[in-house]
Formats: sequence, structure tokens, C-alpha cells
Amino acid sequence: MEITWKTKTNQKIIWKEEGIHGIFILKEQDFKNVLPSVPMQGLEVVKELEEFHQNTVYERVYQEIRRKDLELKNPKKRMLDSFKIVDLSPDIIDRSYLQLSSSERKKLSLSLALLSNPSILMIEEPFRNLDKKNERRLLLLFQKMQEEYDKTIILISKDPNILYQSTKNILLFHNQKVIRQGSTKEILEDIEFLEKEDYPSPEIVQFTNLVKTKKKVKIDYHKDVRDIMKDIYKHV
Amino acid sequence: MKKAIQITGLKELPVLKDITMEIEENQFITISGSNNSGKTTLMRILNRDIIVTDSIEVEKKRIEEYSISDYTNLVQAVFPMEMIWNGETVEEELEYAPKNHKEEIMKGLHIKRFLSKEITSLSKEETILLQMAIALLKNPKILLLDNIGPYLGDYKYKVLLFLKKYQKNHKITILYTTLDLEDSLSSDYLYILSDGTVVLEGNPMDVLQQDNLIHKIGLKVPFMIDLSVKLKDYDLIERIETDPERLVDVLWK
Repeated sequence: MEITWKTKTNQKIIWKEEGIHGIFILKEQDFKNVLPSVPMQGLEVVKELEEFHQNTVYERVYQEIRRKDLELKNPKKRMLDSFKIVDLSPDIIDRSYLQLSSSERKKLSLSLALLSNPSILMIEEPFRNLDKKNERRLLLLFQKMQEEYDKTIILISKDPNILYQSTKNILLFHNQKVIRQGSTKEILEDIEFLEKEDYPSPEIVQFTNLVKTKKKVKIDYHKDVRDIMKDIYKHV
Repeated sequence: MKKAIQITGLKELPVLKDITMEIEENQFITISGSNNSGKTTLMRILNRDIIVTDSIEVEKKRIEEYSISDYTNLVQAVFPMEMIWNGETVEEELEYAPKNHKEEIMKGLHIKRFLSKEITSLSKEETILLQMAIALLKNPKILLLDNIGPYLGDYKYKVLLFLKKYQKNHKITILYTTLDLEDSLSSDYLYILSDGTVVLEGNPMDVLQQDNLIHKIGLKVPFMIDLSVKLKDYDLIERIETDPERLVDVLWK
């Protein structure tokens, strides 16, 4: 599915490729600048869940339904369906904000966005405050949402390591404009270009590049430290 | 060395099962652990947001025996985005705070660049920096920083270096919780919690070499240490290297 939008800074973005997309930004203000200039039908922006003062998750979900003016025949069913997509247990509906774990908060923010049944989800710093185990689980969830529920997932992050591990296509957005767009692997392994644009590169790519340039050893780029380790073993 | 905090068999069910810690004075302590391991609950207890009895001594006195004002003078805490502001701008807000080591704190925490901003327009990064500045201006002997790292963006390492230097110069104890074990490299001591108990503790470089256990808990070992430990296991290097240039030179002499 092709996605097109015009950013708040009047940049036109078109994505034709499949897979999880990433937007690599350098400054916090670009989180806002890269979003569509006007609300887009079928697109929801997922931010970190702010502390809510309703007594329970159930009340918070209903507040979201009212805020978005959603005309739902069966709101409770929609709520439980959105919980199901993100693997969130219905048992949490009676809990308060403080009684939710970090991963439950993350999933709740996703399920609030899913209430309107959007086709595109733009998710700001998707793995912030999550440990590696929960990060892996959430990434699998994004893949499931994309493959089984036909959602387009766009991750917005300042962390090149996360984008290198999780996305297939990437767009670099800086100083209110698109710097480059294309395959994540191709762009994040182009250290010369990233350095020129003041973008950090993934640590594993930096190390591989150091081996290639300093010692002229032909090792490949890998995403997993165990794979780079095997490659080093072959070449030492 | 004198103990700043002594915790013995602390339980706060269902999260904390059994925590014992002896935290020495004037140290920078990192406390890490996966989600729901008990880090924030421990910090809430040390900030007296959750009351416990019999398990904790702060500066050789039981935590529950302090008056509110005495404890606030001794211990300050920063929990992300939890703050009630008094002023409308950053400058006004700082007027309400004490002035201990003000210049040093303002510079070290890069406050001056957003001094004239309105409180309501601060970014997350600026909000945390201001929260930290206000806590430090109160000149506490113990500072609790709960999971502030993810919000500091590009300033994280600069801020950590400043805190480390400030902590040594002014002889305070800092307890810093994080999911990112890379942050622990400059600290004096590292605790790793899992399921409400301390599972690893010691000098950060020694603790981080327990890569199998750390992965099992669900944490990420910093890339250079992860790679070095694996290379060491295969006898390709003799010691852990954190500097990539050095590691490459050691591997291909």
C-alpha cells in the first residue's frame, strides 16, 4: 500500500515499499515536524502514554472514545479487540495508571490508537523504557500487526541501533526536511554519508566499518553480535 | 567507609521479594534490572513515597524515624515528569529554589540555553534537566534519579559525566536506575535486580562480564563488552576491551 503525506514543514513523503518503516530523526522537535500537517484519515500517532487521572484503564479508554468522537456500536467489543491485537490482557481494565507495568503502558497506548481502526500507525520511540525481552516481543507484535492485520507501521526514533534492527525502509528527517530515503541496510551502512550529515550510525556497523577500513579485513555487516563474532573468528 | 544507606531483607510484595544492599557514602551507584524487577519501587521506598519499617537505615538512622523536613533535606529524588511547578518560566522557577552551587549546576546541566522558556513549553529533556537542577540546588546528601536516561537524549553522557564529577566534589551519594547498562560504566558500583532481588552486584566491569545471566534476565549487554566477552571465550583476546580501536589492534596485531 502506498502511503503519502505532507509534513508540517511542507515536505512530501511517499512510501511504496512493504515492511516496517523507520523515520530517523536527530532532534526532539522533528518528532512533531515530520507528522502530517493536517489530520489524516486512517493514521494514528502513538506517543508515550501520559499519566492519566481516571481511576481505571476502562475509564481512560472511554475518555479516548469520546475525545475522538468515535461512533461505535459496541465500544467494549472494540476495546477488547484492540487489546487482543496488542496482546494486552483484559484483566487490566480495572487498574490505574500506576498499577500498569512499562510494557502494559506501551501496549495500552497502542490499543488506544487502534480504537479508530487506523491503517497506519506512527509510533514515537517505540522501545523507550522497555528491556530487551519486551523490546523483542513488541517488535514481533509490530510484525504481526503488519502481516495479519494489514497495518502499516512507522517507527520514529533517534536511535540508529533500534532502526537498524527493526526496520526495512528508512527515511532520514533533519532540520525540517527529508535528507534521504531508501533501504535501512543501505543507508545505515553508509557511514561516510551519515557522518557528513551528523547522523550517528549503529554501533555494530561502526565496528565492522573500523575493521574494514583500518585493517582491510573483508568482514560482512551483521545485525547480531554472535554473527560478527563468527566472522571475526574466520578472519583473525 | 561509612554507609549512606543500609537495606536489609527489604520486602514490598508483590514486587520486592528480598533486597539487601550496603551503599557506601559518596558513591555513584547504578541500579539496573529488567521491566518490573523492582527498581522504581525501591526508589519510591527510599523517597518515602511508600512507607516501610525495620528494613532501611539512612545515614545510620531508621528511615521511618526521620521527620519529613529532615528527610527532605537529606534526600532528593527525580522521577521523570513528576513535578509541581511554582513559576511560569524556568528563570522564575529557579528563583524559588535555594542557590547552592548554582553556577556550577546551571552550567553542568545546560540550563542556561532554555532559561527564558515557559515551563509549559519545555521538552521532556529540558523538564528532566530542570527537575535535576532543582534537586541539586537543595544540596542533598543523597540524590535518587529514577530512569531519567531515556529522556536526556544527546545530553545523557555529558550529564552523567557532570553528575559523577559533582558527586565526587561535593561528597554526595547518587543512586541512578536505568535499563541501559552502558550508563553503569562510569559508576562506582552496580546492582542488577531481577524479580525483586539482587542477582548481581559489584564493580560494573566485572558484573557486565556475566553476559549469559544478563541476557537471561532480559537486559542488553553494552555492545563492546558483549563482543569482547565472546571473543575472550574463544581465546581471541585476553582481556575485555571497551575501546573499538584498541580491540581491532589487539585482534589484528
